[in-house]
Amino acid sequence: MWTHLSDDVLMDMVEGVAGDKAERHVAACASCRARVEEARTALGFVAAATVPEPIPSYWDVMRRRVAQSLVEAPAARSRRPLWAAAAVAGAALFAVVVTGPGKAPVSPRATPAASLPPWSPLPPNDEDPALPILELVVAPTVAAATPAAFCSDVSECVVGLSDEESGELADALRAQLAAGRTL
Amino acid sequence: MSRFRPREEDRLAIEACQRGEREAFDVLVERYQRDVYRLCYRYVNNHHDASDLTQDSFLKAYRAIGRFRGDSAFSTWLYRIAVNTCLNFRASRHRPSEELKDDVVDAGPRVDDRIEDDELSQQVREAVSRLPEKQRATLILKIYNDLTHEEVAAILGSTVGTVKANLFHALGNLRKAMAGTAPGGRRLAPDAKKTGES
Repeated sequence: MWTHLSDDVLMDMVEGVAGDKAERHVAACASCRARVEEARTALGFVAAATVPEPIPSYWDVMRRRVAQSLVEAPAARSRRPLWAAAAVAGAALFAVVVTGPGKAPVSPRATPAASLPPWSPLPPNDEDPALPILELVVAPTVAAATPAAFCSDVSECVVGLSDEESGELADALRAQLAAGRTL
Repeated sequence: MSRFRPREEDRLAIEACQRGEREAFDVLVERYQRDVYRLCYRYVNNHHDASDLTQDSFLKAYRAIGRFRGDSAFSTWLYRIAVNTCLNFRASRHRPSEELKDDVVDAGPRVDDRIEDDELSQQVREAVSRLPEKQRATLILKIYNDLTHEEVAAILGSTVGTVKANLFHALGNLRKAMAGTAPGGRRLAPDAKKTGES
């Protein structure tokens, strides 16, 4: 039974890496031979299609643009292990205990919420029971309770978290709440 | 697997970035910005959008570099980000109906007997930019970025066989879209065109 070559084998023919069997078929099959020739002709067009080269100084401009955008972007860093996020969460809870709820607003509606980065996976204020803790974390009064081994400033540490780290922190905080800790 | 190991200079720059040394990323930008720009240009066919997409691709790469583990070459990883950035951009700008279907139509008769090189380039770039998504991505990465079939498959989440088949379809559609034009830029005579299309 006569069957034509599959497209991936025909591509091998175009690239000149097909086996003898495929070559014998193409030599004997006008249909497959025409398709191979068609593809080879198209390769000629492809080679002719160059991208207009920007002026040489453009690449320096691009590098500066990228560098500038990085300044405004969150810092790149390796993924922090879960225990680090848990430690931050623990520090936050510890701060709540030390300072007491009277020293800082605990109601999410009593004070404007901490400014979370737009990429944060955390839910909106009125849906997230963990947010009051975050508000306390970023309050200046609790900075002294921060474990220096992780961050010199809790608020900077939290705001600088990546998407995944923010998610882990939120999960850890929710776990603490679910375990019965109250504000 | 040794070919997937990042170049030593890449590795040092990547590790520095992962330690938070932002300046180290400049090395990677300097090394790959031309390739990324050209890749983006092939998708959008204009300098302004290609420039924005290049910048956006590098920014996304920097944000994600903490998760780069060296399982593939950095360039492969970066191209994948760039391809996704371009696809998202096109999805937000274009309707699928603007793409050529597999049974691509003839480009129609040409007015000029001779096509200047830059005109031919523009014509081919437009034809490439109208190919179906996977065919276009495959052709750009394989032909213009000179990646292996395996690397293209890794970027597109596909198999080597599918990559080859998509590339073959892309070339066939491109040939049909350029019907009536010889690779050198000359319009084919009617009988020559017939021969090419048999």
